[in-house]
This record gives sequence, structure tokens and C-alpha cells, in this order.
Amino acid sequence: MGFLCNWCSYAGADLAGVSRIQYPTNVGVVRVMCSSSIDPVILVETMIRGADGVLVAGCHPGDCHYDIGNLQAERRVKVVRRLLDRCGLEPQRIRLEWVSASEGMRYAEVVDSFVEEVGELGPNPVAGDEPDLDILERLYIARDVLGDFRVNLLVNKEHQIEDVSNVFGDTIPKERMDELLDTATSEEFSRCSLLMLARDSPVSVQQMADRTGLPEEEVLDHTVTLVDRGLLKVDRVDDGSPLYLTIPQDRDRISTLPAWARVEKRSIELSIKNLPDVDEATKGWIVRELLLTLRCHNCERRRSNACNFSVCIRGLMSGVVG
Amino acid sequence: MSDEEGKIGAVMVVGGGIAGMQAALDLADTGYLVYVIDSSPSIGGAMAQLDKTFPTHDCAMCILSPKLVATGRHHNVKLMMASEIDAIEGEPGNFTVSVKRKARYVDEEKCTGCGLCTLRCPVEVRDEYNQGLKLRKAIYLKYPQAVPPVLTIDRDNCIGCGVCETQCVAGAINFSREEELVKVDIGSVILAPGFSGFDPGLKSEYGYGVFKNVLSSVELERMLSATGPYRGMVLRPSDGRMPKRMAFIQCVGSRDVQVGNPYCSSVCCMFAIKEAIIAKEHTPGLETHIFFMDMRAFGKEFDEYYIRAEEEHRVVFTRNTRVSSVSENPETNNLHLWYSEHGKMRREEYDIVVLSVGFDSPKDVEKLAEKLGIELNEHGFCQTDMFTPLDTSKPGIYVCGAFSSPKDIPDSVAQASGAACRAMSDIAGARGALVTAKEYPPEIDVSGQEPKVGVFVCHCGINIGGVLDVPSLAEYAKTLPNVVHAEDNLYTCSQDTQQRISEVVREKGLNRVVVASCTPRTHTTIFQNTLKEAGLNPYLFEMTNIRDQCSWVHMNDPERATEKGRTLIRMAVAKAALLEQLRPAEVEIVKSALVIGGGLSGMTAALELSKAGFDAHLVEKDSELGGLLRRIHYGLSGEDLQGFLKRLVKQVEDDDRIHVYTNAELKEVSGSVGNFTVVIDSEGEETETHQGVIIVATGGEEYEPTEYLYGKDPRVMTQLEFEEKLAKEGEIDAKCIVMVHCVGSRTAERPYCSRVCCTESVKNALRVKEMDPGIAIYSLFRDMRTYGFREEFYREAAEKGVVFVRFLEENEPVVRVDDQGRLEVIVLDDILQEELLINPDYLVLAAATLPARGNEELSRMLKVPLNSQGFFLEAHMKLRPLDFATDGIFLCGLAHLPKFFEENVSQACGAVSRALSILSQDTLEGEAIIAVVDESKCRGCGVCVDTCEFGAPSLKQLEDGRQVSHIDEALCKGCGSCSVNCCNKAISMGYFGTGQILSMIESCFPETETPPAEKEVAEVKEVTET
Amino acid sequence: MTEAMAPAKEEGFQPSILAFCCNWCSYAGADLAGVSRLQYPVNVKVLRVMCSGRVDPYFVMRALELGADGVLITGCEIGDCHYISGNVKAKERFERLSKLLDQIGIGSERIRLEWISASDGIKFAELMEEFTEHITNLGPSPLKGSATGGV
Repeated sequence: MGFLCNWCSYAGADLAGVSRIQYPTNVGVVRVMCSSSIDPVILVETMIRGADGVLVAGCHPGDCHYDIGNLQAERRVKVVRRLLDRCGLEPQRIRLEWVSASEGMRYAEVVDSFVEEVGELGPNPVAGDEPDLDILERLYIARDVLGDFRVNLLVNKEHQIEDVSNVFGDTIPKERMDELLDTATSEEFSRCSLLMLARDSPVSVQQMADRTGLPEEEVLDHTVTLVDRGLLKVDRVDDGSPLYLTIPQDRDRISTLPAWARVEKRSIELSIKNLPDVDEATKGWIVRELLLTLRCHNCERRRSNACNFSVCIRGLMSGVVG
Repeated sequence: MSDEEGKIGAVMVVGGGIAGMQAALDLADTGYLVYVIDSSPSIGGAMAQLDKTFPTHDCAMCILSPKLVATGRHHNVKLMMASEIDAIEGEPGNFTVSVKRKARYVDEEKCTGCGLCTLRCPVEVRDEYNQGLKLRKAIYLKYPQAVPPVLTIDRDNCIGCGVCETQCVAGAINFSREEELVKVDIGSVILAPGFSGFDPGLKSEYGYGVFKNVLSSVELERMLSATGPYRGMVLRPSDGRMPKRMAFIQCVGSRDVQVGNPYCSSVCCMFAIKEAIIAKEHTPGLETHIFFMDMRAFGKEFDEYYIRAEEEHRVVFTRNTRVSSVSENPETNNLHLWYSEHGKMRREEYDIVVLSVGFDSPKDVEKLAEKLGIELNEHGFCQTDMFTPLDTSKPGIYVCGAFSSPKDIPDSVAQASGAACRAMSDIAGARGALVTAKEYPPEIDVSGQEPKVGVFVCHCGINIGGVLDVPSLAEYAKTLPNVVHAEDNLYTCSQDTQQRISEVVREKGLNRVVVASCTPRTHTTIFQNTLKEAGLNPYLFEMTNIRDQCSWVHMNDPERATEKGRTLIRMAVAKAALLEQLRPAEVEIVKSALVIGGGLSGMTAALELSKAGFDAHLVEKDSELGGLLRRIHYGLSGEDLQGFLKRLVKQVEDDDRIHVYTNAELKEVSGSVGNFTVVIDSEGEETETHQGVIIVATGGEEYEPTEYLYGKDPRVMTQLEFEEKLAKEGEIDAKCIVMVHCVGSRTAERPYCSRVCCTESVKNALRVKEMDPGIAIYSLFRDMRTYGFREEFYREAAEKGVVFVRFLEENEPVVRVDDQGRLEVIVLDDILQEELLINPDYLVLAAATLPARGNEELSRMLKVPLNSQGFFLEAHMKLRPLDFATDGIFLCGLAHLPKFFEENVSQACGAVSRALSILSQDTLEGEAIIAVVDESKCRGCGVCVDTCEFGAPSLKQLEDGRQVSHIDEALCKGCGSCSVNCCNKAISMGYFGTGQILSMIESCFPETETPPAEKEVAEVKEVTET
Repeated sequence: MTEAMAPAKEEGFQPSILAFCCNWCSYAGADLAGVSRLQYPVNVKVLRVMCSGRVDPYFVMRALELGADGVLITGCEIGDCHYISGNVKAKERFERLSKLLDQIGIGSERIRLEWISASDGIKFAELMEEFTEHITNLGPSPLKGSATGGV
């Protein structure tokens, strides 16, 4: 799967085509307006859906049609790669390349080497009939992390704060921002893992630690934050250990949605209510179809050119699913 | 700005902890403008971190938060948060202080404290308030009840992403704020910067910071709190399990020369007992174990608490131990405590170890001291003098709280009042100069008018509006009976909306106002002021809480939450229609005070009253002034107390404002705050006077022992007698002296600690050693209670060879005269487990201090309580140590509890400060929400008289001969208990009237038809009486 | 806003409950529940009084008579009362009232006396949750809709 920006890379790919340069056919291409418009959630989503690798290509630094879009993309890809690593997937499966409109040749080379590299890594372990459920679960967690405001916000603001100017007119050193983002990603990943663990039955700190491999003290620390956020509660105390249970959230029903689209859940539920009796599987299918018709807040906002996520979920998901 | 002498009627209080707040409130109530500055973004200090307080287990936040609100809302108090003193110039009475105010980046006027901004802030920081056991954001409120309720951006951690600005509906975030330098003119300064906790990591042998399950006592305190990290559960940091065995190690950073803190931190013993009990309550099956050297339970009812902890709560105490080290079992993260008992090394295993950390001097205090030009003592605390314990080395700058020496809350509060009194005396002439009473238009009399209710429904940004359908609520309100106007506002409390309310009141002729918004606890006063500005009586206002108790707690159910909002508004409107104008009773204040007791405390109080410009009537039962002080000759450092006493007595006698009555007693006291009528019998002559307030300073006396051959053998004497002998003879002929502690104290009959005798014994022992180092001295003690900096004299005595021998309560020393006529003392040394036989030349007994004999009679006359030991019982053990529950009567000195010279001086000044908040006013406004008797219904049964804790109701005879209840408006607090108990429902309450509450109940359940209420009153009354 | 979303209760009996809260502790505790955004059912309406000692048993009876399914009285912890002993008096009255309710067949389980301190936001929210559930299980008050039936 490749995401190509409209102005440089897509043009580059076109050029490759026009120039009849041969390159592997393994890459399905989605054209986006800018490399920055690829929500990292979508990159993970692509992996969940079984892509062996994702190539994101944008204009060279400084050439971006939207000024800094490609720099944003760089940061997002960085975060996603870090998360993939945590999930147990090779981070190399996601690659960011700069391809300008004139670099048809380069585009072909990039695709070549990427396909080769991914080929060496082998198929995506979550694809196929017998997916690696552990990795898959972790990918879902990674998607939750990216759907959360904290990591998202840091990624989106990173360039502004690091290179331009924050609200105080200062900049924050790159090392500090990197560290912050690292910590945030890693913490949120741990927290989402704990929420996942405590979803069905109450678990103790020790059990969570055993199953995530995190130190118990760190788990305890996260439970404090999660209880504070209203996502986790102490269900009961068993033999001196409090047992924690995830408080059901809206996204449990439709966990495929990124945070900003969850608001629409109510209207979907209403639609389902009015359906004739159908079995669960059909219902699930209908829900998904309904999802595809969703217009997220950002779509609404995009009319005023304020959207951070230029990929419409409808377009994206139909692209991927279809 | 200032009076004719150029004095300025304003005071700066440095530090907004409990001491700073008390000082500020006293000053502000007395008519001074107060600037409270604190380096923290909110006031509250260390007490705000506490879960419970010893020995009563009062919830700390419950008793603190009214003080927070009172300080934050006081019209004479200006809070300067996140600020520090940069420089000071001038002289007492006229200082100019430059204050450096850090930017908080949030506009204090606009911020509503809703906290929405914190939810999206991406930066997480360890929360200092919770000792790092929890995270906060880079924009934060220090704690949920923080005053001022304004958020702060932590500039050190903020990355400047600006997301908070997008979240803030009030538009309060302002990134362009900068640090500013403000110049403030003031008359005096009070320092109350508190303390900082000792860093337990410095005691590396205990493994704090290395072993996960070693906690500091403050961390445990946060765990115990319902607002703490685990919401009240105690969990092991290593694995989140509840502990089964918990050990407390005392004196971590106290009484420890190695770490540079040789002094005792005074509070940690009781703090540990409290935590040990509460932790047991919070953790099923927990065993708690306290390892300590001496149990310093020297405060009021502390020893009783200590006994209860051991006997009722089964806290295990291991005395006389300094734990040598802690090691960890890396498998289980359990901890091994190594300590010696009776000379043998022992090891015990625990799953949590708590280090009772001591007090260090406040952070960066050297800088402050240098800027102010005050001296610090060798430990970095404020240098004070025994005679002037509230004065720093620089005139015009005063000190209180833990900064003068480590101390607990009541002692800090008493001292704070004392420092306020001292600060006022420099600028007595400028009292009231800088505070202007706000002028309001004349009140419109609405009695007899049809109710016209105006309803204002607040969106509170999106705090309410985001959940409830606020416009529909306003529309709904319009349909309610008596409502002539209703509207919704973005922020009803904002300046412009308040102005608008005033306008609407005038335009539409509203005579009742209802606001549906946040909590009446914090916002009633604001809106009441708006009503006053609009010319309405402030009690024609009712508020209903649709935020804290509706939109915030029912976020998922907007429809039914809106329905609830409708009900709440309906109830408020129903009550509002029945609201009546209330006017607090006004009492004219007699500008004179009665001081009972002419000892150190009484005389100090009288002199301070005189300095403040008020008459004092000083009543002494003996023929001369001085009290117990006449028997004390020198201070710990050799101060000449008799010389001081002579000067003090002369000062009192020469003072025109002080009227001394000797050989005097009170015959009769009647009346109430503002105007007591007092009959004094002095030298056989009776005088009747009128007094605005009464200060009880009846002092105490030394116990006359019946133990240890006292009175039977002339070689046995009390410490005071011994001191007298040393002072008079100037030398002593002896080879060996034995001192016995706790004679008459800490016994079954008198379970309290007399507080001063350990130090008294050390003082006399040092005196003897000074006279002749060759004299052997044995001091037989149970717990050595030389708290605070007195600890150093204990060490000095030990260094000079005084032998301190611990005995246990059950192994009291045996004293007899042997066959050669020598005194013989036999005692089992608890440490060495050896029996000692000593033949002293003198046996000196540290006899208990008893309450004054007349206390009981006086307590009946003043209608104020005594505790079981015969000392007077204050209004609240923690926060009102100098007040009685009855207004206008105060206490200080030994009448409260045995205490040291300097503590008596502090308390006496403090009692005066409390008294001045009344005396400084011409009239006193009582509560407006008080009980009202319908005399036509009253049968004069007197149940109300028995019900009231404050002595407000009494029976009076009407002209027609009927007896009816009469409420003393100055004494009634408005709780309403009498109204409920009244047999004939003749008593109702202002503002919470029976009719008003019933109308609320009726409108709460509107679907049913309401039968006339009158009939049921009689019916129900009968059944409830059975 | 926290993302805590308690699932909406099923349609059916929704009890109405009146809670008397004293101004100093329990009302403050209720406020703290709000500040902490603890979610609880909407069924309870709070009526503020200065002290739990102000709550006349007649108020409680009147509320039940008018259709309240449950009534809560909350005050400061014993020993913490702003008016020294108002809560003690409330307790005595409550005990008498409970007996009375049992005798007349309404059942004392419809009323409850609890101590909530100013820092007990969690306890307050839990109490609201628990009491609402308790009253829901009891079903509607026998007096509901029959105000004229009297006591």
C-alpha cells in the first residue's frame, strides 16, 4: 500500500508510468492531497487489514505544496514506526520517502527497494487466515493510542513547537520533544494495553504486569491515571489486591473508529434500532457499512479548510476495504 | 493612605498556609488591609495535603476549606499568589515591599476553575501535591478545593502547544503575561512561610528512593486521602497490593546530629499514631508498628490518644529504639528492619516501611532572610527571643507557625493570631485607614409586595451548557409561578452579567432573585452583593446548583439531567417566593475587655489590649500579680525571669488603660458578646462593669505530690521548690541528686502530660552541673519530651554527664529511707534491664501542672466547657484553639493546657488578636440566618434551651405572664435544631424556614396534589414525639 | 470532560429521591463529586440546609407523602458538626423516624442517614448510585399518588 501526495510523489509515480519505468505491481496507491494528511491511525489500520508494508511518499523537505505538510508526515511516520516496533512488527514495514514530481525513476527505485525489503521481512503476520492474534491485538492497541488526543496532539504540534515558535514565542529543543513524544507514546501504549486487559474481567496489578511484561510499579502508576481519567475502576478487592475493570466506553462497540469519529455513534445506534430483526453478523456488517457513510467532524470542518485529517474516512476505508 | 504618624494600616503576610491564613483573617477582621503572598499558586499550605488531623480525626479539608474560602473572599484580603518578596525598605509602620509576581498565564478574573483545559493538555508531570504518586498536567489546579480557584501554567514543563487556550470558553488563558514587580506599602510584615519536609533520601540507611516500599509519612498521608492517588487505599508501590504489616520509623531527619537536624520536629509522633490508626481503618487486617525513641505526646489529649492507639486500635509500639537500617528482600520487595532492643540486634519483616520525616526550615529561606534583614537560628529557622517569641530580629517584622520552630496546627494557629496582634500594635492608629466599607444604595422595603422572581440560568461556559439545555431551562423558568423574568447567561458570575442583574432588578421591579449555576458555598456572597447594589436585601436571593450537582455528575444523560435542572429551579423559585428580608442583629460593642487571671498570660493580654487602644480589666485572685511565674526564676538559657516579671508588673500597674483588681473574684457574669455585665469582688468590694469581651487566663498550679515521701522527708522536693532553692542559695551542697519525671502526670487519675516538666528537669540539671560539674545527677524519665529546639538542652545535659534512666510505667521507682537514714532510690533501667540503687542527697520531683482551682466555678459562670481534666475546652481543638464556642469569650495560657513561657506569651497575644476582631468594631453584626420565635405559639416548655449548644434560647416572661422562649440574636448560629425540637412549631428559621423548606419539597414532587400542610403538622408532631 | 460514560439505565421505574445535605460537610462533598466529575444517577435532588439537625422528621414525612420514593439525610461525621452536635440530634430523630416508618408500613429502608465529609466526593457519588439502586429495587413508594391518603 502506498500513500502518495498529490503534488510531488503522485506526479512522480505518474511520471514513472509515463516513462514506462517498470516496477513491482505489489503497491496499491492512494492519492492524498499531502503526505501530512495521512492520519497515523490509517497507517496502523492498513497494517491491521493485512498490508505487508506501507509506503508514504511526499515532496522533498521545503517543496511541500502545503508548506510543512511533509515534515508533519515525517513525524507521524516516526511515531507509527515506533508503535509497530512495540507491537512486534518490523518498523521497516512503514517507510517514508521523498519523491518529487520529476523523479519518476526514483519512484520506481524506491518502490523496488521497498518491495524487496518487505519481501525479505515476509508476509504481515496478522494477514491471512491464521493471523498472529497477539500482534493483532497490539495493533489494535496502537490504533487506540493514535486515536487518543495526547499522542496526536504532540505529533501535530511538534514541528510548530520545535522549529517555529510556541505560544510563548520560544522553541523547545528537539531532544526534549522527542523524549516527550517517546514517553507519551510508550505510556499511552501501556495504558491502552491495560484497558484492553481489564476489559472483560477484573484483573490485579500483578496479573496485568505478568501479561504485559511491564513492571508492577509502572502498572500501578498507570492505573492511577486511568482511574482518574474515568476509564478504569476498582471492581473489588481480592486477597489484598484491588482488581481493576475497564469502564465500558462508547468505542467498545465500534472500536474501529478513531476518537474524533466516535461522536457519531449515537446516530448509528439509532439507525440500527430501526432495523428489522437480523442476526449479529449481519448487524456487524451493517454497522460497518454505516460507518463508511460517516462524515467525521473533520470532514465537516474541512469545508472551512481547518481540517487536520484531509483523508475522508469514507474515501479511505472504501479504498482499503474495497 | 496613612494616619497622622505616617503609619500604614496594611500588613503583608508571607505564606498562605494555615498560620498565614489565620493571621490574615484576624487582621482583616480587625480593619487592616492584608496582602497574603505565597510562592505557590494557591493558599492552603501543608494542611491542605492532610487527610485527617490528630487527635480528633477531623477531616483536614472539611475544617480547612471554610478558612480557604473566607480568606479568598475577604474584602480586606488581597491574595498575591506565585509571588515572592524582592526587597523591603522603610521602617516599622511604614514599609515599602517590592513583590515579584510570576506569571500564571491565566487571568484570575476570568478563570472559573472548571478545569476543562487540563483534560487536553498533553504534558504530564508528577503531581507535587500528591507527592508524585499521581500525575498532573502542565496546566493545573493545585488541588480540587484550591483557593483562588484559578489554574496555573507550569512554565517549566509547558511546551507551549496552546491547546488549553482552545479549550477555555472563558477566554482566561493569556500567554503574554510576564513576571511583574509590584510595590506595596504596608505597616508590618508577618512571616509564616512554614517548613519544608526533610528529604528522607538523606538517611540512606533506610533505603528511601531505593526500595520501592519505603514511603515518607507525607506520601502515606496522600494515600490515605480520598482525593489521593489510590482514593484512600494504601497500596504497596512495588506491586499495588495492600500491605499486611506496616512499620513506622520515627525521627527521620529529627533529633539527628548527623543530618544536621539536632532538634525535635514536635509533630511526627502524633502524626505517625494518626496514620497508623487510619491506615488500619483503611486496610483490613493491617498490623501497624511504630519504632520510636520517646513518644512526644505533649499536647492536649495527646497522651489519651496514644493510649487509645495502643489499647483500642492495637497499634504496636516499640520504644527506645532507633532503627539502624532497612534492607530489602529483592524477591518479595518486603523490607527488613534492623534494630536493637535491650542491647540485642533484632530483625523484623514488613511489607511497607513509613519514614516519619521531620521538619526542615522552609525552602530558600536564607534568601528571604537576607532580603528582609532578619536573623535565622543555626538550623535555618527564625531567631526569636524567649520574651518576644513573635518578633524577629528586625522591628516591624513578626513570625508565626513552623518557621519559628516546628509545631502542630493548633500551636501555629494560636501563634498566628499572636503575630497578628503584634503586627497590629505597631500600626494601631492606622486601624481602619485602608479599608473602606462598601457603600450600598438604601434598601428597598419589599415586605407586603407580591413576589416578583427573576431567574438567571448560567451556562458556565460549556460546564453546564454542554450537558443541560440551558436556554430551555430559562424558558421553563418563565412558566413558573411568580417568575416575571428569566434569562440564560454565558457566565452569570461575570462582572457584566452582575451589572445586568442589577439593571433587570430595577427595570422589572424584581424583589426576589434566583441564580441557577454553581455552588452556593462559594458564590452566594457574590450575588448577595449584586442584590445589595441593586437595593435589595441580600437574603431575597436563592441559588441552586445545576453544575457541581447536576451537569458535572450526569454528563451521560443530558435529557434527564435537564429535567433534574428544571426540578431544581422549580424548587429554588418556590423557596424564593417565600423569602423574607433578614437583617442581622446589631450589637453595640463595649470597648473594654475583662481579663481573668493576672499571671504572665493575663498581664501580657492586658498590655496588648492597651497598646491596641482598649481598656482592660485585670482580675487576679491573689494579692499580687504574677501567678505561677513568681516561682520560676530563670529560662533555659539562663534568662532572668524574676527581673522580667518585676518590669512586667510595673508596666501593667503604670498603664492607665489597665484596671487591676487584686484579691478579686468574679461574682456574676451575664450578657453576651459585645456587652457582658460582670460583677467583680475585689478586696471585699463589689464593682459592676460592662465588658465587650472576656479573656480567660486563669493559669495553673503545681501538683503537690503524695508520692515518693514528699512532705515527709525534707530532702524530697518539687522542681519548682528546687529551682527556688538553687536561685536563692546560688549553690548546692550535694554529691548526688535524683530527679523523677511524670510525678502526678500520665497517671490513671491524670492521664495528660504536663508538657513542661521534662524541660524543667533538664534546665535544673544543667543549672546544677554549672554550679558543680562533680555532682552526679540521675534523671528518671518515661519519655523525654523536650520538643522543638529544647532537644538541644537535653543533649547538652547528657553530654555534661547527667544520667538519664528510662523506667516503664509499671516499674515506677521505689523511694525509701534506708537504715542509715539515707534516701534510697531503686529503679529498673528499661534500656539496660538492670536494677539501679541510688542514694541521693536530694530527690527532685517533676510534679504535674494542675488546672487552676476556680476553673469549675468559672466555667459554670461563663457557660463554657472544661475538659475531663479541668482545663478549659476551646471551640475547636485544631483551628480555634483560643476561642470558645460562645462568642466573645477567649482563652489563653495554662487555662488551656500547661505550656512554656513563650507559648503563653504567644497565646496571650493571640487571644487579644481574636478579641480585637470584635472590639475594633462599633457594632457587631450577628448571623442573619437565626431562629425566630413566634411568641403567640410558644408554650414556654424550654426544650429549645436544652437543645442549643450555644446558649442562645432562654425563657422570658411576657407582660401577660406567659413564659416564652427568647433567642439571643448574638449567640444563635442558625443550625435550626431548636426549630425541629420545638413542641409547638413556634420556632422557625430565617432563610431555612419551615414553610420555605416545605415549599421546596412540595415543588420537588409536583405531580401529586398537595393537601393543606397545617393539618399534618399536628399529626406528625404527635407521632414523632412518641 | 472525562470519557466515563455509564450506560443509560433501562426504561422503567425511575425513583425520585430527595437528599437533605448539610451546608458544611455533605453539601461540600456533593460539590467535590462534581468537581471530580464522578457520575451518578440523576434521580436524587439535593436540598441544602445548614445542618442535618435542621431536618425535621416532618420534612421527611412530607416528602414521602408527596411521592418521594426515598429520602436521604446526610451530615458531617460525628464530631465534625459545625454546630457541635446537630448530627447527633439528627441521628436520634432518624432512629425514631425509622421506627415510625416501620410501624406504619412504609418501611424504614426508604430513608437513610449517612455521614459525608467534605472530602468524600467518592463516597457521595457511590452513595447516590447505591441508594438509587436500592430504592429502584424496592419499587415505587406505596404512598405515591395517594397524597390524600395521609400517613
